[in-house]
Amino acid sequence: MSRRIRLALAGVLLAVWALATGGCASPEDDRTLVVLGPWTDGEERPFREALDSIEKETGRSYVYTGTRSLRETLVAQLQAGAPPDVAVLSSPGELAEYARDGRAHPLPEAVAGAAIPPWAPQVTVPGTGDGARTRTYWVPVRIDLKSVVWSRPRVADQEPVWCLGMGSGATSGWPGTDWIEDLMLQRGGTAAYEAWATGRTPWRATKGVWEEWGRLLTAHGGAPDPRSLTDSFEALGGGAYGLLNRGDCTHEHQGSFIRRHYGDDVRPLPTARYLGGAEPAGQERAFEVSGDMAAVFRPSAAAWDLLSRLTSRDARESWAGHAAPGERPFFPGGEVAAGPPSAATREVQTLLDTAGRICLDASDAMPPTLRDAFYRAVLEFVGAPRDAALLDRLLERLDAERRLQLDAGAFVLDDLCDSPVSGGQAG
Amino acid sequence: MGGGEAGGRGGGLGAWPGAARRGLRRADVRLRAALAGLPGRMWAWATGTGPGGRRPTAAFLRRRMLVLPALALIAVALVAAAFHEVHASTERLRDRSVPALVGLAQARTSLGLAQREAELRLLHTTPHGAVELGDTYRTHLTDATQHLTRVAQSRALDRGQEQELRVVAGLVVAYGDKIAWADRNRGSTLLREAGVDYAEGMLRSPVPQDEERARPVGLLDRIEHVEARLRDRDEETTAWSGPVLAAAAVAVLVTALFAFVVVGTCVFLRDRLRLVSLQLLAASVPVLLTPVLLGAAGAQEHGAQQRVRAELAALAYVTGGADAPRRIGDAAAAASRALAGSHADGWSLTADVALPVTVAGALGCGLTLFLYGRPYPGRLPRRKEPQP
Repeated sequence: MSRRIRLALAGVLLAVWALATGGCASPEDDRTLVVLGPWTDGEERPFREALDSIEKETGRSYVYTGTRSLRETLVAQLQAGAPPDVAVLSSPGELAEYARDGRAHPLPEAVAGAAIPPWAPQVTVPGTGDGARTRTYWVPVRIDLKSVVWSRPRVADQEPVWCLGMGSGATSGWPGTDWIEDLMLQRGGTAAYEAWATGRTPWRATKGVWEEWGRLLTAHGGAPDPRSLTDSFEALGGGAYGLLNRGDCTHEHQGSFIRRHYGDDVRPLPTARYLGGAEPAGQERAFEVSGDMAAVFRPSAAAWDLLSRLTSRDARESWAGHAAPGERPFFPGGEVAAGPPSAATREVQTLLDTAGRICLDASDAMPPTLRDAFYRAVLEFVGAPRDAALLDRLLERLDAERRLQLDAGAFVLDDLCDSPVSGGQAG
Repeated sequence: MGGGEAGGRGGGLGAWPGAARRGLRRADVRLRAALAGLPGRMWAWATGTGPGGRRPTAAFLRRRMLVLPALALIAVALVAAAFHEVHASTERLRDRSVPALVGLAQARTSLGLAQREAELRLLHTTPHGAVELGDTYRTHLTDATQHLTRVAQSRALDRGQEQELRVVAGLVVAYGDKIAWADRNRGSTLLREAGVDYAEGMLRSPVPQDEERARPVGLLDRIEHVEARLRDRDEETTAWSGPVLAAAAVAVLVTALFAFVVVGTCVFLRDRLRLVSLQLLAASVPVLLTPVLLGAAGAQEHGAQQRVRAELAALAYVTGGADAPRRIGDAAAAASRALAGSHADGWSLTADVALPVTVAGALGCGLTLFLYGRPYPGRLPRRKEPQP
């Protein structure tokens, strides 16, 4: 047999062997990073696009899953020993709890520079050998401005008819806690707000703002519509969104993310403008802010790399570039170049840039158990806003929970307010 | 000049079709002649009788000693690869997809039943007055949690689907919290109804703004999404794939060629060496039988896969009702029967035995021919040059 035939035969045998033994499991799953986050219902789309652009650069694949039941999901995953690689949470109080439990991992030096205050304060966790260690554990990837009221310009200066929708699935009640927090900030100023949110002030000190909110809810006589307890804070049903589009209310107290449901005919104004009387925080130009913070729960070089990239200029430009002008995300430290924003987006950015002080959302900074009790108390209050005895009971219950959390050392964060870091475009 | 050239070309082109036709005709005649002569030439090659006359015995046996095992090994490798693909799909269906899809359907319907029970006890006034939430609700909720846990452990899901399922598990906890809150506030109609409403809202998400691109948000929507993805993957993996069909087709051709060469070699041995080689025939039998066996196995398993898929598809239509657990159980039993009818384990055992035997047969063919050729020297020894 000629040498060529023998070689050809050997080649065919090798090819057949490769065919026969090929097609086994690929290691693709090992290169997949799981990201858990709060954005759902279409809000996650630009973020997914940003992940896709990172995917093209790194060659890794990223799976994003969004839910409003972040706490239940993450706790279940941690208990099962299968946490996501990276989780984006809006509650620094909850993140601090994970940091203290050793579930969230401290930022390496290369990423720590993106931990911008007040969204990413340092957390002191009890050490095992050399005492307590103070580190940063998360970075803000997106922020939002609260302490704003949305309305159409033609009715902006009229007596408000407040839109109210407490429904938000597992976290129903938070639109009400935002009201209490904002009133506390505007009436009490940043020092009182910070003292209350970090567990140093009893809840009875907030009774005045609860009563004020009760008066706002019942301003047009009677109790609030029972539907406001169950109505979603954004969905109207049948594919329609935005409470202002319902037609039976004129003003909506909501964070800057709500603008994605409206056109440029709906504009933001500071809450302080709608509150009469003394305004200590008005002089401070204080605003409440929220943030979506990313932390690593399954440490790996790939996970830290993703965290670093999520705070990079490229990722932010990609994220902003894939968002519609009316849903353009805000980032800590300033804007990114991504085309002209909507008028409402521009106005929110101006409010953010010119704010005197910004304070983290109080309920988000509280220990999760107290935060959830706050949500539930708000729901009960909306059911009977004129019931003084109920309010006393609710505040007593919340204060008992506060004291319990204090005893457990669960109040970890103490600096919730800061001066805004802005000025032009973020780097 | 140009015109003349054009005219010349025109004349040439006018003549070209005739030339082409004649060329084609000649090629056709040559091809027909070649094809007509092919069986004869192949037979001559198989039996070592042409075209250059009788082949030397030693050279012929040496070539066959390599060609027969090589053909056999190619055939067996291809048929094994094709069978392995089909069998792996059956195992995947049996061990992963069926338990996962049945578990997801059970979790989905258990949640529906839990919601119905919660509404019955918290929203509607019974003729006998107010009642507690009761054990039936808790049983349904516990069932849903357990089914989801089993699905997560089934290894049927990729990382993305597994994460989606963990979100579902978290949502079930949050759902239970809302119903429990409604139960705690049973003294207030407003809060009780609100709690049930929040819980119901978590089961089904409202119509999204961008319906085509939005991901599911509600608990049941997410489960249905994972079910649909699993069914899509089953459809993909249980379809006849191009590589499997190609491997099977080539295996059939190579096996036929092997049989033809074995017959030719036997004729050569009878004519040249005056022997009937029972050893060669015996060694060839497993090589010829294994493709038939594994082909039948693959066809049977593939048929069972299609029946199982039909049963699993029916699970999507089981959306609730008191008889949902029974209907899911029936579908699961039917899928199990279809899988048992495929005798996948038996065929796998058959393959485990047949493939080594076939490889041994292939090597046996080569060894037999090596032994037949050993007495015949390959080349005459060189004559020694006389010393000067």
